[in-house]
This record gives sequence, C-alpha cells and structure tokens, in this order.
Amino acid sequence: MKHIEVGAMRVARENGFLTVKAALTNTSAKNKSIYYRFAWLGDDGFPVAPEESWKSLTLYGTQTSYLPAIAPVPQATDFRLEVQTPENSVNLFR
Amino acid sequence: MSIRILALLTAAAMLTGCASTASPVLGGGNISYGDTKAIELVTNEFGSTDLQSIAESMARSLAQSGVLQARPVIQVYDVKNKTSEYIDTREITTSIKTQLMKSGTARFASDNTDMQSQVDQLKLQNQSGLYKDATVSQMGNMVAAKYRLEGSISSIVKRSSDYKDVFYKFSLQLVDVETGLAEWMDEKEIRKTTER
Amino acid sequence: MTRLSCSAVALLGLLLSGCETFRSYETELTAVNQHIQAGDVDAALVLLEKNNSGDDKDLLYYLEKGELLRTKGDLDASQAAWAVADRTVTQWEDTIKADPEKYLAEFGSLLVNDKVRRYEGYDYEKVMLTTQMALNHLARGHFEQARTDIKKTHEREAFISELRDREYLKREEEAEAKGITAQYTDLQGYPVQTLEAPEVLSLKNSYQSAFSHYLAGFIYEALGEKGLAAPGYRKAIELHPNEPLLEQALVQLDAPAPGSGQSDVLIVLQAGLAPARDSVRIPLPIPTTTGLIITPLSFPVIKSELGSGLQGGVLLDGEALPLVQLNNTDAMSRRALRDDMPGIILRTSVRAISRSVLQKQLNDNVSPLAGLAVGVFSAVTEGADERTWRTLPDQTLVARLRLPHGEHLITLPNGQQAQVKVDQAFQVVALRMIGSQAFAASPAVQITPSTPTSLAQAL
Repeated sequence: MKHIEVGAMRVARENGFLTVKAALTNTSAKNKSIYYRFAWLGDDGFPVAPEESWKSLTLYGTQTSYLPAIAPVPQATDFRLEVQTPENSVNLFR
Repeated sequence: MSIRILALLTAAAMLTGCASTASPVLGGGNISYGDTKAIELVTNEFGSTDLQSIAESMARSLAQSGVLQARPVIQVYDVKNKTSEYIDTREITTSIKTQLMKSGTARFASDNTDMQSQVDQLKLQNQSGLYKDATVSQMGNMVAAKYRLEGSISSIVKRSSDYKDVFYKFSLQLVDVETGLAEWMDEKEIRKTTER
Repeated sequence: MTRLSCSAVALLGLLLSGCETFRSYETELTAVNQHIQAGDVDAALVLLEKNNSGDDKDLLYYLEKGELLRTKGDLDASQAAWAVADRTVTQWEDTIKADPEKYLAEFGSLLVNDKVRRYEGYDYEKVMLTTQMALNHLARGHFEQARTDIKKTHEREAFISELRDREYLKREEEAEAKGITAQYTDLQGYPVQTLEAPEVLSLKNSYQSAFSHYLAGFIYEALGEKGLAAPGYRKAIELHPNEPLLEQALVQLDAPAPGSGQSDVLIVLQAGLAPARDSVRIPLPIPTTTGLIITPLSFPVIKSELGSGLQGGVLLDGEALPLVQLNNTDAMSRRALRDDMPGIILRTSVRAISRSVLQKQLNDNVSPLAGLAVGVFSAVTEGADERTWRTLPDQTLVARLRLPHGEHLITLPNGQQAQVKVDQAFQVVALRMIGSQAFAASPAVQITPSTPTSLAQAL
C-alpha cells in the first residue's frame, strides 16, 4: 500500500467484548480512500464470526484516523485488520 | 536454427503439461456471483452496504454498552422511515435482531408482525382439542418484554448541477418499558455523494 | 430506362403497402375507442385483433388488449396480456442496464424514422402498466401480489429517472454539435399552446404519477409495512402538493388500524381515455448545399379525447363523495411530447437534410426519375409517430374513507348505480367510466342499469 501506514493499536475488553482502536496514517499530501474491515479470531486463531462488510474511509492529506471496532461475540480474543486501497499493486517477480 | 527448435519444443512441453479440470458451472455468459460484503456503489440510493453497516454498528454498540444485563427480553418496534425513499426498514431491524441474538446478550419477544402467528398457534394448541395435553404449551405463560427498541431513519438530499449529496441518519433507542426511561441511544450517519 | 424506374417505383409501393410505415395507428384506435364509448367492449376487442393479425405483435397490442379486458371484467386474461407487455419492458430495462451507452447511441440514431422503430412505450405508460396490474390484483383483494407489482412500479420509475437524466444531457450536447437549435416554439403553425398549458408545466416530469405512489403507500399500509408506506405518501405529496387527502394519509399512518366491522376503503374511479397523437405538417427551412430549402416536415401533436372524462359528481349511500384527481394522463402525455420535441426536431431535420442530399445526388448522377421516386416515397411514408396507449384511463380520481362492513351504493354521474360489498380490513374499489358508460373492474362491484328515479336523485 502506498502512503498508508498502520500505526499503533489499542486493545481492551469492555463489558465482555473485545474493543480495538487502530491508527491509520496517510503519509502523502493528497486525499486517499481506503477500504477496511476487521476479522475476529478466537483462542485457536480461527474466525469466530462471519466476515464483516467492507467499510470505506477517506483520509485527508497527512491525516491520522483511528478506526474503532467492537467484536460481535464475547468469544473473540484476537483480531486482524484488513485494508484495501484502490492503488494496490503486487510485484509478481518478488 | 537449433535454438528455435529448442524453444518450440519447450513451449510444446509446457503446454502439454497444462491440463484443466472442467468447471462445475452451467451456462455462464456474463452472470456471476458477487461478494455479499463488497461496497455497493451502483446508485446513490440506500443500498445493501448501508443496510449492513447500520445493522452491524448498532447491534455491536448495544451489545457492548453493558445495558443488557442477564439477557433481558426486548420487544422490537418498527423503525420509522422519515425519508422519501422506499427503504425496507424491517430488514434493518431483522439484521439487528439477528446479530444481537448471535452475540448472546438479549432475547426477543414476538413483535407485532409475529404476534398474530404466535396467538394463532397458542389458540390452536389449547382450544382445538387436537393435541396431547402433556405436550400443549399453556396459555398465560408468555414472557413480557423488559425493554422496547425503536428508531427512525431520515435523510437530507441536496442537489446541484455537479453534485447529488444524500445524508442518512439512523437513530435507535432502548427504552425501559416499566420506567419509560431511555437506557441507551446511538446513531449512525452515512453520506453518499455522486459527482456528475 | 424510364419504364424500369416506373416499375421500380410501383414495386416499391406494393412492397411497402404491408409495411409498418403505412399504418395509421390514430385511425385504428379511434375506431376501437368508438366501440368502447358505445359500451361494446367485445366489438372493440375483435377490432383490435383484426388490426393486429400478424404473428409478431408489439408491446402496444398487449397494452391495449390488457386494458380492454380489464374494462370487460376479465381480470385473468387482462393480467396475462399485461404480463407479456411487462416482460417486454423488463427486457428493455435489462438491455439498457447491460450496456447503457449502446442504448443511448441507438436511441439517438438520427436516420431511422420514428414510426418504424420498435415501440418501446413512453415512460408514463411503463409506469402505468404495473400500476394497472396492481389494481387488477387489488380488485380481488390480493394485496401480496399487488405489492410485487407496485414495488416494480417505483423501482422502474427510479431507473427511468436516472436514464432520462443521462439521455437529456447527451442530446443537448448532440444538438449543439449539429448546430440545430430550433425549438418547437419556432415552428410556424404548430399548436404551441397545447404544450404550454399550466397543468403540463406544473408537472415535475412526464412519468412520475402521484397516484402510483399513493397506491403504493396504501398497499404497504394494508400489509402492515409502515416503513414503506410513509415514503409512498411522502412522494405523492411531493408530486401533488397542497392536497389534504394525501397529507391526511400520512397522519393517519400512525393512527390505529380500523377496528373489527370497519374497513379502510380506497375508491378509485378511472375516467376518460388517453389522448391521441396526430401528425401535423410544418414547413421548415432546411440547409442544403444549394442553400435554404423550405421542406414540409411532419411533427406529432397531441389531440385530447374530450367528452370521455367524468361528467358530474358521484354519490356514496346518497351523500356526495369528494373525489380528488391524482393523475392526468393527458397532461403527462403532453409533457412527454414537450420533453421529446427537441429530439424529434433534431431527428426530423437531419433526416430531411440527408434525404435532400440523396435526392440531389440521384438527380445528378442516376436519373431525375429516381430522385423523384425518393421524393414521392418520403412524402408518402413520412409521418410522425402516432403510436401511444390510447385505452389507458385519462383521469384517476380517488376517495378514501372508513366504512362499516356490508353493502354500499355508489351512484355514478350517468345515473347507474354500483353495489359494493365491503368485507376486508383494507379494500380497494375500482370503477371505470368512459363517457357515459360505466364498467366495474372488480368482482366485488355490481353495476345496475340506470333508472329514471336514480338519475333524478343524482341530480
């Protein structure tokens, strides 16, 4: 991902549910749109809830935004953040 | 010359090594199954992504708020549609109910659409004389709701020659039936813009 | 040489005599309408079949047939005919959704005569088709099936609105590029006042009907879906502002449902016939290589069906029933023409220019007779597109009230009386009046012939 940096993440358990706040920074000077979603994992590392819907976010130039998330079920103990940007590219020959 | 033959032979070898397994698809053409969780940007109106994002954020916010102690019984009322768009608000409440049930934090009483089937079934069991007494559900044992969940959705549409901007605001509140107090409220805002 | 070209012209004439371009839809349907106005629906159906004896029947045939069968009271056959029409319209929608650019390019095809183009239906006709289908279902109390049809109506409307936005934009760009900017107001001899009437200009557009949305609201309310009923009433209010009936509906949505023994009844009275489209020849200066030539071109003009509308008041159980007009097909048809006029002028002018160029070339290179043949051919076949759904009702008037269960009597302006049986919690009573003829489009309504005493009472 160009110009999108995933920063610090804070995890807590509030009222029995896992809550996450993840920092996402736009390092370029132009607005960037990204799509993200969280995947919630149990003790064994496998998902405990079905896939979430993708959410869209626009980051202004050099803005840092905090993505809040709450787990859908109390059994979630871990999470994974998936981020997609329209400018994704994969180097085939790496 | 020999290099050309070599190149041709390697190409032939590579191709004969490829075999495809037949695809289990009938028909085909230009129809395919899409991703149900993808972001839908087909038109500016209320869409599937809006429905999913509202249900998700409202259900999780309510589950995590700590108001629902010991799996209380909730009665869900219709979400009032204050927009001029044909939005099936019952689908939003059904999604919220499903996600709350799966989180294990609440139980739901029959709402006004299910009530008639519920009453019919009870009457059928008790009054028709068709069922074995030991298996019949007794009348007068339905559990009353402790909370009431209701909400509304409204929209503001602005248009200019270059832009069409639609702003939705969905608000939901949990009211205690006995005291009449609102114990929890949350809202979700969505903005969709079309640039011509 | 001359004998060859003479015979060529004659052959051409023979071949085309069976062709679409020679059909005058206006005269065909005027004859059909005369049968209906005399009260003889069966004769009208027979005439319609005679006019469409080919195998490949177009959309218009099914639209007219469905409405005639509905008037006769044969709701099943009416739905069957309209189902075919609906499939055609759905196909039209699907082809556009698959490739919108292709449709816009084809639609703007400037060289094909409008008459020869396959009939797609005007936008308001597409919307009214599914609305009428919903009324058929409601006549028998099938609210669930009516819901499917009315949902199709407002979804189709949304699709049409998006399509037209794009089309008008494209057409404006094309007109500027071609340099043809004549307005219909410039056409000498065109009855401009028919398109500039206040009821035409006050419409938001040519296809959105307050009645469709009000009916949608009523159907959703009857099914208990208040979340979908509210926007239906709101849209109806938006399209028809300052109407207490519509505002009352929105307020009543929150009130309790009718108690046992009471019914929420919607009386729908559809009167009159949709207007006809006729051709009028207007001379227009066409720029050619030899300078400006005045050529007579044909343009469509709307002719209202006067005398077929509602002629008097309606009584319910002896008391005057206040009816509100929610739909005026005449105004929608004119508005559709008014919005289409720039495109029609553009296409007609371009065709005339290309034709004069062709004629000149034939005159110079082949023979004067060939040029004459083209001229004669075009003079005979050139005419505006007269095709439109003529049997569609013109005015739709509604009244909504709470009635106790049982038999009620509606007295119509022509003296006839309709016996209505009210027994459901929500009910729609549909009546059709054409001139002085009344038709019951539902099994719950019985129309008794007029008697002199009831006529006196009505007055």
